[in-house]
Amino acid sequence: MNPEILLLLWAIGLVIFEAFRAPGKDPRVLGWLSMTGVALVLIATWVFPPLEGLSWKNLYQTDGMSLFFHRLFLVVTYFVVWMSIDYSKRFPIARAEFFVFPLFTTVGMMLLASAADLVTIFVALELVTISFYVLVAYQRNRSESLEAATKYLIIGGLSTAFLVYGLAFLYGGLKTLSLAEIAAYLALNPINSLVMLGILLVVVGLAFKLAAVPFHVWAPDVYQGAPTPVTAFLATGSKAAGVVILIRMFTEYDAAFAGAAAKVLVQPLLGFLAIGSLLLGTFAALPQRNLKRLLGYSSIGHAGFILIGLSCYTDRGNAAVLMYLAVYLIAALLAFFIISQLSEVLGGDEIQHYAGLGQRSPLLAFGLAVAFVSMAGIPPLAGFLGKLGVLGAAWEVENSNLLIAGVVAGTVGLYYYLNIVRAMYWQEPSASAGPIRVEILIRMTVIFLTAGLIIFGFYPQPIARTVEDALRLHGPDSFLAETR
Amino acid sequence: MFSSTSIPVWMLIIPVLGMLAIASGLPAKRIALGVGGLNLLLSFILFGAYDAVTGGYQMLTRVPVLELPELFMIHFLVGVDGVSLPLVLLTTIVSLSAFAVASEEVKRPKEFFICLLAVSFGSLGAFLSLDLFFLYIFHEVALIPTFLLIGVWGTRDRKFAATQLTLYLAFGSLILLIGLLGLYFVFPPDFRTFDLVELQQRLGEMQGPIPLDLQKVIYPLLLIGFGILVSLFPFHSWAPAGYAASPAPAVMLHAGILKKFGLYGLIRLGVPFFQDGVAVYAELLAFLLLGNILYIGFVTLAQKDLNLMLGYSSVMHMGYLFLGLLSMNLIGLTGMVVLMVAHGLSAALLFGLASSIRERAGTLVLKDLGGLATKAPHLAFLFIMGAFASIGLPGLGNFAGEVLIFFGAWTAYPVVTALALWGVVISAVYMLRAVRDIFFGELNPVLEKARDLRGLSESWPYVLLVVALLVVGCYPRILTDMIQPSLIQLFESAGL
Repeated sequence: MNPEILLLLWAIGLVIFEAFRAPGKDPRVLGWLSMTGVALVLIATWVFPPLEGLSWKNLYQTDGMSLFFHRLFLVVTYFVVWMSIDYSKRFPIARAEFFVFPLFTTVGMMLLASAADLVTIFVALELVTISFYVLVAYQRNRSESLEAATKYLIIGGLSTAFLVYGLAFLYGGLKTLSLAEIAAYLALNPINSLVMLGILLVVVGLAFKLAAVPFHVWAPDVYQGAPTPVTAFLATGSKAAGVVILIRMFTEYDAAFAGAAAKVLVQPLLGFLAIGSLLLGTFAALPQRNLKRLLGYSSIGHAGFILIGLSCYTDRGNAAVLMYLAVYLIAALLAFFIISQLSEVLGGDEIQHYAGLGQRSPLLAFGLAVAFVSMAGIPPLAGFLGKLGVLGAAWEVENSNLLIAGVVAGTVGLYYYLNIVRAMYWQEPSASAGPIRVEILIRMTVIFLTAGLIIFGFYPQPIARTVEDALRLHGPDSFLAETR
Repeated sequence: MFSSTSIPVWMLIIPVLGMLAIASGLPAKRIALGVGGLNLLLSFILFGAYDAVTGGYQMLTRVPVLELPELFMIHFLVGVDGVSLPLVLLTTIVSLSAFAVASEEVKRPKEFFICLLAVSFGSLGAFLSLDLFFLYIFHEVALIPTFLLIGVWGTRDRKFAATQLTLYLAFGSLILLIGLLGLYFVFPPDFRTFDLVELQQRLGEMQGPIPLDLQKVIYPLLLIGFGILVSLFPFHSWAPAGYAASPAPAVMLHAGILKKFGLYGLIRLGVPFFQDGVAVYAELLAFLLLGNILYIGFVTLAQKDLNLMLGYSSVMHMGYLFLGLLSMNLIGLTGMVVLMVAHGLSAALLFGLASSIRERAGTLVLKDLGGLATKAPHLAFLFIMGAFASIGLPGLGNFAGEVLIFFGAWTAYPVVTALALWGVVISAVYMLRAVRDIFFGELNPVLEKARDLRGLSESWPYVLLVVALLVVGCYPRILTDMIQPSLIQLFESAGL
């Protein structure tokens, strides 16, 4: 059975369970049940690995790539729900659905990773986006949350419009919706203006999802205003979802697109998006004082690094992107986990609130420092491998513009990440501030993620193995071979 | 389990255990001294066990950590050869001395000693690693705690100095990283690896050296990247400000050890892989190193503060080391390695003693000092030994290195060498003037109550450094016999 169906049934079951439960009971129970469901499905991907190949009338494909992203999304969701449960202790969230909703988003994201058809992509993407509208707006009584939700709704609707318009043009030009058939057609035939327009619009729509420049304006506001666990979900899951569509639609068909007009069109486009995101994401982050907003800008920069890898159109580029995503997710989850812990105790998310955190809570300060230094790509932390990978991919295709932009963004990025480290360690806490108590479970989660970043920095082989599997089992390639 | 082959691995495990021990609350300074002492002992055993006649890479331990041809081939590979072994010795000697100089009476002593151990661990790892990936990341491992050491425990404008130093060095490292990636992708897909030992073998299997047009692109990246880490003119401005603001043990570790990493990298990669690139950029390097020696020499003359003077002087002396690199022959490069060791020892000695002068006088402005020798003769003696070494007086290590460098460079670049020789005069002027201003002349009233170093218990870290300088100076063959066979092999792998 497809893991999406299992998770969907579990989520619907939980909603029904909540509806028939006596009111006034602890809503967090649902959160624990959600986590259990995610963990079970995650385990099932190993114990009952799905059969590879196309299914559901060629709408759905299972291959190494889809398996990689399924696991990645499930891990992210696990931590996001855990973060939400913890968050609800400090910012009461009246309704228990808050803990179940991420599961629907995850189903959508998993479906995206398995999509073999433009229609599946669109439906899955809508499932993701619509459930995100609800999550971002969940704190109805906070005006920031509402502002963020309105912006996200408008921009999200706009980007969906671009995307679906583009898909329509693709269908009009190619008379098919199957990704593999599109790839096979484009490999052999020249591109016409309808298809070109379609591809352009699709890239624009996806650039919105990735928060790549110049389609990034929503990210800082939404990141700042949304509840922190939702921000974490946006920064990790939503971004990875955008990446997987780009891989599925464009860069995965490396062999098929080689020399084809579509590659000639898309490759420089992705390169342009990459350079813009790198430069704007890092330089605009410099003056930011709010940590969540700063992470919004930094996530634009990370989209830039990911786009470097994608725009290479090589196996190395794809491998580097998967590596980058995996290590970025750990760091981002750790950072948001700690920020969500602290925003009430510290009185806000501004950098000045973090002054002297090194003395008030050595563990949280260390974890946050490790997360930021990893995001900055400083070895020996795992984030370095992602940067090394994408820069290496750019070297291989000898694209010096991408390399220069990467180096500039890397150096400038270090500056603003270090600003936070400086505040935590160099400044003294205010006199009234005492030590911060951290629960044992939170403590263990922080230690777990921090250790992950350090250990994978020195010994990345486990991640490399999963990346290797994702690349080895290429569904579409074998399918293409059959259709020819 | 404990054969000499595993010594390099143990030398990396011990500091990590030490850091964990300190983090768990054991007495910080004692643990640090224990780690330093143990590693010094191990490095002596390593020195004895290394077969200098055979030369080449020995005591190799290789563990694959990333083997994915689509991404990278990375091995955790530690070992030594005749070029890195002297630097490993330098690291352990200076580390022990720096740990001993470090005081426990600072704020947050636990973290302070963990950072010091981390710098020492990173430097040791950088010199022991024979995989480009780990070479790079161990250097960065040492860089992050340096940032914290200056920022948290520094003096004066520590925040600016630490940020400037970190950003400068991070930028240099990134350029270096691009260069290393270039070296990785120069090879055909099946040959690509970060493993230096394999890379050298594969260079031998390929027909001829790396193509010139690629060397022309990659070598300058390495030269500038490593050069920024070594404060090559005009990328030097992070060094004096950073050193003046650092706490004494941190600057001993950085100026003494970590800064040598860039030069080591240039020998390690330049000699086997980039002979043609070195030749193409020789004139540029000649100009830059004269900038280090002469321009920075004059800047040093103008300094009125001892710490800034020492900072600039250490930048200036990098010029001689680059002169050795410029020569690209056996004599010059041997001299370069000897001078790297000797300069590391003398810089650590002078920076360490400068901090004890500050403790006594409360200032390092030269004109506010004077006559300290009457109150603190031992301190004066040790400082003067360091100053003499730095000038290049025969009998101390720096002389041996500088002479070899000048001989090596003379044959190829007589004009540059002749100009560089004036640097010796310049450094004699400022060093002797500083010694006169601090220790002789009329006793400054603020120094009335200054006390001497209390016997060996307080002065042994410095005595250790002076003894090492004397050993290298009086019997340089202890190093050169070790360096030369390995250098010859590096040249051979370049096909020369």
